[in-house]
Amino acid sequence: MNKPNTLVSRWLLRFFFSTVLFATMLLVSCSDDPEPANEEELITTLTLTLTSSTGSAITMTFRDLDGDGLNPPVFTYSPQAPGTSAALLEANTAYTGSIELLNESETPAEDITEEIEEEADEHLFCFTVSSALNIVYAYDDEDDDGLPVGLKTNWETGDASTGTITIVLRHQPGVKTGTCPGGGETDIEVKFNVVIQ
Amino acid sequence: MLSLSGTVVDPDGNGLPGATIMIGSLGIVSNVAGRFQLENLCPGNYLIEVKFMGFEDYSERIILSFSRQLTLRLNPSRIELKEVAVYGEIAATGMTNSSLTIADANLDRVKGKTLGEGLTALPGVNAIQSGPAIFKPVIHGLHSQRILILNNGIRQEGQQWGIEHAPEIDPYVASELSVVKGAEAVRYGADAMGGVVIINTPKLDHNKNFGGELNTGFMSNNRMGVISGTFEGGFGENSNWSWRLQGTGKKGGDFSAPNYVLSNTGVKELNFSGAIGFTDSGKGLEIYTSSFNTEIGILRAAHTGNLTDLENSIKNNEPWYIAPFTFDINNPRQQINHQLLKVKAHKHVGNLGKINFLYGGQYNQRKEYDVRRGGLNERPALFMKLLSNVLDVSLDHEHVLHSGSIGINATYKYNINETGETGVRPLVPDYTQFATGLFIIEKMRKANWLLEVGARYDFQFLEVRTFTFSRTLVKPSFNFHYFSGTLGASRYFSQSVRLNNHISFSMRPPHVSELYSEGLHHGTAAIEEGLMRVGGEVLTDQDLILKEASGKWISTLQITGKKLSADFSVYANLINNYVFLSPTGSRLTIRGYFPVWAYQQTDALLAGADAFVQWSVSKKFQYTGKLSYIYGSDLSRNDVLIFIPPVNITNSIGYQTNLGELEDFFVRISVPIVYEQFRAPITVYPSEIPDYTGDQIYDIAPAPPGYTLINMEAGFKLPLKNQHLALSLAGENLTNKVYRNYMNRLRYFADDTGRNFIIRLTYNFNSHN
Repeated sequence: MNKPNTLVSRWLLRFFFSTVLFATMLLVSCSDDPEPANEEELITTLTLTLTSSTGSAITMTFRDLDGDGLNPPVFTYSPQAPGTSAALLEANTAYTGSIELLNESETPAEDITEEIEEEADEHLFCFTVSSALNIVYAYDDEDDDGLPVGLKTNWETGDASTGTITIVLRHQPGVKTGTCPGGGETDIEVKFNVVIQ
Repeated sequence: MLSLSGTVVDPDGNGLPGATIMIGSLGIVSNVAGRFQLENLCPGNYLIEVKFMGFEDYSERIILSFSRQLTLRLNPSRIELKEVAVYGEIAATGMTNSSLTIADANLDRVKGKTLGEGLTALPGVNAIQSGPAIFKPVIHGLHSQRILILNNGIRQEGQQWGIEHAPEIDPYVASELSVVKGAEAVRYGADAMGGVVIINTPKLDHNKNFGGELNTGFMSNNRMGVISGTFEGGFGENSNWSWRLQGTGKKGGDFSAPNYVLSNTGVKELNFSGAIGFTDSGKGLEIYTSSFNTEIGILRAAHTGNLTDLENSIKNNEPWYIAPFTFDINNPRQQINHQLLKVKAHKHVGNLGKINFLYGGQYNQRKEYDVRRGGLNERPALFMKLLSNVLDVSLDHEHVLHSGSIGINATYKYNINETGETGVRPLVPDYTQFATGLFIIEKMRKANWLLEVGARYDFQFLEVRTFTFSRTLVKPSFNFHYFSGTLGASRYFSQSVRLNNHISFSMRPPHVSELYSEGLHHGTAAIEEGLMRVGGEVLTDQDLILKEASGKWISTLQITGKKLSADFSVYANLINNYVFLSPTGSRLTIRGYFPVWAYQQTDALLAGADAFVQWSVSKKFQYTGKLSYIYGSDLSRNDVLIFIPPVNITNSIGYQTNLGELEDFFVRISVPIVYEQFRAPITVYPSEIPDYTGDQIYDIAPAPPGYTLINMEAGFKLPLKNQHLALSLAGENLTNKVYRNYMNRLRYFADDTGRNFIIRLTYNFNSHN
């Protein structure tokens, strides 16, 4: 065993011991308390507004302020059908529909509708009407490719009936064809109760 | 007076008659069976040297403190591509546990594959897959927190909690992959409860001239190319220092099932490692550093929104997104970096024994990118950083009839989420963990028996930094104390037959992910809740935490004969307070319904059997067979366990000969048969989940039927400038069988990979092999 080797190994050992110490100190000193995450992608609120030609507006709102959290979502209908949690629509009437999306976990609330408008070529609202409900709908907007989006719609009620309208927002980056459900993921799936009188 | 006996074998385990064995100044020649025996030796430190024509000289320094049996495996002086199973080594290290190794030609056969996939070549070892490139090792039904991965002697500290998180290791660094199937919790701590995966790198040798190895591989299925090179040498004749540099690059595109492209399953990898070592009589130092960097695509169609999406994906026979082949990797994808620095030193100190010192610093960074809205695609949805420091100090002592080790381990881990970058609530919270353990292991030899006994005490401090739903910071902290113990006995019936029995008891406090997970796990499309998150509250009372305790017995019969080598194991593992995820209902969100899975504890039993047989039918023909069976049961709830590998059997037949210029020409056919998992959980389809009220564990699709594949391989060596160029061609799933694997989570969405051809070229120059 020759001398330079001893020196080198001693030096290396010392160097690594000091690295260990340094690393440990670094770790201890940087254990700051974390900030709560700011959930930028969250959508808390969806409102479907149906406006008749006479100007009366019907709103259906889904609101879930804690996102994936434990508190259940709240449905609000205005006007509400008497004795039931459902929106009240008039029979044989034409409505124009519009959808508003918000992130109300932030103050002021963030308007997600704008985001969808900006990324209209990646998004498609799909509507499913339960079979007993007498209502038909048509898309009233399109993206740059001429495909429907669904933020603006037209609705027409038939005779008195009850049922549900399910609104699904499909996120289809690169795979949008305008048909429902098509490829992609579901960003929103909300079911509203409806009474037509 | 002690005796030393043993067998000199070739890599196939065949005895080599007429080999010269020198022990100190004594010499002896092996008999017809390759055996030798030396009597009347004094305890001490001996250099064993073996010479045999046609084979590389072999030398090993051993400490003889009791009579021993050795299996001395010689490597052919030419590089050979023969099937090798290194069962004999176990006798030399005197282990009463059950262990299997992939080395030499068997290691060549898994080159280009991920670590987890390569390990499945061993009976009793499976993998949970999250696509064609993400394999997580499963030993006897246990994985993740319960399996320890020793990367070149250092415990791998990555984000091992997720089953879609594969070990962050480049298998090209290895000269040997071993799996210890019994618990080794005494030596390594609670995370070795289910077994240990050992990645051994070749020893540095300062007597070596410059040498190395170049490996390339091409895979047809995903048009993947791999290139890996190792260079090593000493620093001149008078230096005790040596060095090694190694690097691997890998790029592959989308894999394909027989009928369609598995879109977005590409992979990129770039790894480096370097080592510098010093050896002298009685002491040594090694500094090793490695960098592992990978980017892996997750099947586009496996990314689902809510239960309705999941239902549609499962009910469709084909994935909803199939695009032409591409090398591009888009979201969803994982980007992982793992850096390691290791310093290892040992010194013999008089009568005290050998002192070992090991330090490892690791930095693990995991970024997962999701398909997101509002221009967030460029920002990861999960971004975790884990820093860890590991320190092991042990003292090995060897006396006349017993040997042993006493030591201390300490680990310090610091884990943070970069939520500012992600804009997503983290699933696993930030935490700091400090753990330390003290262990002692003693081995005694008596006649034909080897006895082993060990005990360990652990202390762990854990501080978690998490948030309530109202975004208030909570910082629960805990002090855990726990114990483990082991008892082993090995009985030698002859030089080639022995029976190992190993019983171990180990405990572990639940991992942070099991305690405090909260939120949507995108990898599983489920909301997960930890044990300490009951009813939306963050619990902080340590008395509520029950430690998991496992008692495992494993019995192994080993035969290492000339024509026949075999390994039969049976085992039973009873786990008290076994932590697992179980469905507890579903939750309505604006995205529709999501299943809620909560961590729960139960008493579980894992029992089973593995078999491995290798029979040289003649000089040219060889049969290899392996089988593994696992029975998993939730005892307290009288239910099955999820993700328990089904029965699988592999038969293979090999033929080898020299064909003129082409040396070691070989052809091998192997036929893996995988049965259906008949003890799978009940099926509750996603659309039925909101109405499911049972507490039985369920799966969202039935277990796929069994399947049989046909794989073939052929190769030879070409002499090239005094060296050899080894070339092999392998075909996997030759019949292009359409199948789904129960252990692959992609089975919900797509078929498994189709036919695949692999070409491998290895050029070896003065290397360790």
